[in-house]
Amino acid sequence: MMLPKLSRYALIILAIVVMSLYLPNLYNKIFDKKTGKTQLFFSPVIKKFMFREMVGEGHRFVTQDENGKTYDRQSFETLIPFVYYKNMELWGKLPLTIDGHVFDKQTIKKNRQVFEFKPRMIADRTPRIQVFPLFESKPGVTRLRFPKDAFRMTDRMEFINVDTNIVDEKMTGQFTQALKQAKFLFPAKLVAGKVSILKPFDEGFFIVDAGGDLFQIKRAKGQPVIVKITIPAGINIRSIKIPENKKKEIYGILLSQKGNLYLISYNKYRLIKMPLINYDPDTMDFKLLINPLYRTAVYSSNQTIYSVAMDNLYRPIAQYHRVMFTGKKTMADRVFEVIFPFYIKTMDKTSGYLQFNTVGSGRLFFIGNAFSLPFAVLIMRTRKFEFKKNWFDLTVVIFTGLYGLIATIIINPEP
Amino acid sequence: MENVIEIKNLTHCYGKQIIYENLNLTVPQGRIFGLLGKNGAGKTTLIKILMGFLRPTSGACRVLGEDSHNLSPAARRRIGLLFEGHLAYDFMSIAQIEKFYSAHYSAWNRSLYFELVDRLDLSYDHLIKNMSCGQRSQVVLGLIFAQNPDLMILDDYSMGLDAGYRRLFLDYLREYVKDGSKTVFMTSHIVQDLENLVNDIFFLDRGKEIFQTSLDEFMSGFKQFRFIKNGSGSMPIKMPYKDDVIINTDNTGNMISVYSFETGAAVSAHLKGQGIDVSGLEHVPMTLEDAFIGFTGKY
Amino acid sequence: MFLSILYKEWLKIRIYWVIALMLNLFVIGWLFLGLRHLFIIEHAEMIWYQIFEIGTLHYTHVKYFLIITGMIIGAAQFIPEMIGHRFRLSLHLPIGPNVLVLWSALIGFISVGVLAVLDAVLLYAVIGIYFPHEAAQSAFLTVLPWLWAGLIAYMGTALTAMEPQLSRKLVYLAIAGGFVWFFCSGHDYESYNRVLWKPVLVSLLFIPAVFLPAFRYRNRSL
Repeated sequence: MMLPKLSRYALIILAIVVMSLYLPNLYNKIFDKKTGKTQLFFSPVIKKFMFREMVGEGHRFVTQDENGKTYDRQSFETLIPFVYYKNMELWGKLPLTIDGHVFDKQTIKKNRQVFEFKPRMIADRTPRIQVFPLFESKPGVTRLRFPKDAFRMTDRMEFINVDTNIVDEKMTGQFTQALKQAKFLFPAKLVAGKVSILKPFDEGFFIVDAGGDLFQIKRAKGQPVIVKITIPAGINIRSIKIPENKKKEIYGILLSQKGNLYLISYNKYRLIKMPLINYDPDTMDFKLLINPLYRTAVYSSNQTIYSVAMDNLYRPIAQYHRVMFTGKKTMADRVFEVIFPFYIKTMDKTSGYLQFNTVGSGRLFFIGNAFSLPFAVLIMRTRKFEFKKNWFDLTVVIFTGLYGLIATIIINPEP
Repeated sequence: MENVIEIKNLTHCYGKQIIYENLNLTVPQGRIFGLLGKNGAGKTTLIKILMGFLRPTSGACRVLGEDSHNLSPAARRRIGLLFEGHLAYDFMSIAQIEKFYSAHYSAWNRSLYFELVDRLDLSYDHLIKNMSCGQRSQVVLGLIFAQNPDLMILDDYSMGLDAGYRRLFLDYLREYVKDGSKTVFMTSHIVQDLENLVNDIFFLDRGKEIFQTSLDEFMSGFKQFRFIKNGSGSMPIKMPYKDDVIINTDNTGNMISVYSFETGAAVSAHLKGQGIDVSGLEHVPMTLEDAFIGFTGKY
Repeated sequence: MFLSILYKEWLKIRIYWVIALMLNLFVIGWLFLGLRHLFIIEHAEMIWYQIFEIGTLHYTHVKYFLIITGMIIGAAQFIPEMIGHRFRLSLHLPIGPNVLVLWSALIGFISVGVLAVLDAVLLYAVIGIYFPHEAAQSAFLTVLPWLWAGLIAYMGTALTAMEPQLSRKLVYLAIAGGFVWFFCSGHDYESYNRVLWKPVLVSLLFIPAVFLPAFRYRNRSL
């Protein structure tokens, strides 16, 4: 009788796992009404932070400034003219003057840039096969083209011909030699670059060598162009994103192992540190809005949104944060915590890798478990099962609440 | 002499239907038992319970000294079981099934199997699923004999067998039990086959007490008496009814038969007590089949 | 005696195993022909871009064939045992019901496993013809959870077939289905890399689970 009993316990555990994988998702599909995150801006006109926040059902939203003053939509957008410049043009409000400077549509467009850096973009948070195309950065035509080879960083920089799937020893030797001359230490720790022919130009790849040094590697007229970039001591690079923007002010974003975010500027690759408090790169989306007058960094978790307004030299001017409406616990959230003592989380938008983590629901779960126990006892009595012999069932219900209750009922003990 | 099968206070219900109630049965070693009963009396169910394929509602069954619901591999090795319908692994061939089973039984008699199976005159690669019911039966019986078990349980061995093979099988069975150490527990729809074979018989009737006796005692004790129906004038013919003495009655044409364990004189007197005046009560000799039908009744 | 059970199970499933083998070879063959055709009609550098950057998976149908394989073998092994209550034949063998069921399940598990490993190896080889070994390795890692899904599909089919009660069969199907769905839910290559060992470890509980349906079979009242 021992083995069938253990067999039943195994099935109960499997049933609980399946339920905790799917029932919470089903509940959220039915009851979750959370809409989008708050949008936060810095107004160059009134020098205050302003936000648009979804509040409740029906996609209602409020547009306010940091002091709580409410604006109608047009007033709101007029105070953030560099973001809503197209509407400004429609409303005949261009050109506009702020702080004595005049801005027309062309000037605004030319001086606008948005950088995004989400957790999923961090190199170690998303799988990526380490084979990349090194574009010809001087193709002699307007559009970039995919090269006939792709490289991988092993103990050399190996180029593989895409038609034959064979290593191009000549190209490999050429680039590897150039890297060694530039004091590159193989193997590489990180390879970063934008793989797309839709970008306006190509800055090649930013590669971190075995010693932690950063190099920019490009291909110009078939020849290697290697630049060793001097990084301040103490910065260990975790991830880099290169967005190739026409403005040519910023090469890209660099994330250090310590969690600090830097911009790599076109000014001799100087690193500009972002002054972000409470920034957690693994959970927060980061956005840098560059406009003609200010640079605004906005970053948020699921609960709180932060912002830092900076001047043209990235010196912080003002800071703001707020708990978003969608960050507040709703009734549905609380009921969720009561019903489900835990759930198994598999997907997270902050990562390209799947998870299999048990997430506890907080202190409310014991209410739900406490309700499940009398049900279990009642059903046992109805079916005439002895409590002493069914200690496993009762223990499972105490610890897993609803999951255990359902599992022990549908996979009932053998008489 | 150990009891090979022991059933104590066996009660089995299926839903509200009682199949047995407090059934008791003992089978000592070295005997041949015939389990008799009409269709649906619960013969196959009893065998399923004995072999641990069904859990009874209550009661205890022991086979070869072990709890029937927990028979050890060693016990099963000593039991040859023929399932109703001659169940077999029909995806196997004649040769394959012998190769498979022989690995499980240390006393396997290969030549005995092929001796029986050769009579089919089929290739050894012939698949069982491509055989007729009777041919399959012969293969399965061959396997059981080759196993040389201490206890043979045969649930309706005769299904599908022609008269010739049935006779052959009974010959082999007699040979098998010759030394007195083997026990056989069998059912058959062809009751007559059991007459010259079994030592003891059990009558199984659903919901009622099992009736156990030796064959000899039964055949000598259970009698059929027959008399001519006589009606006089407009008076309705009185029919005998069942009671402690009259086990069963039958009416065919103008003859009425009664069955009883009592003597002719006692039966005559008893019928008079039932208000039936009988003269010329005739004792009719019976075969086992006649006695079985007489005891259990026709439908 | 394990060899004799292996012999019996093999006789039972061999035709179906060969059919499953043919199906899996067909899938890999189809992949090979598909890639070959793609390289003829499309520029190689575009195909490489799709594979490495976009993450296009050309071999997702392997997923379904592996699950079908598991179900075919499970059905081929255990459904014949249930027809006409033939399971009693096996339960009467002198090896004990738990050992019998465990060996039978192990044999089926291994036979599905062999096909799964074959799929993975052939996939590696085919991808390796057209792409560097990094892509072949990535395909191998991507396909691992699907191989496991095929094995779970086998275990679920075995459990469901052996279980005598219909309502309980549905429960086992739902549990196995839940795990199979999880192992097939990743969309991108290598998405299970960091996590596979956890659900695989938990799903090993399907192995001891096989004892219960056989026990319940013997515990029936009719």
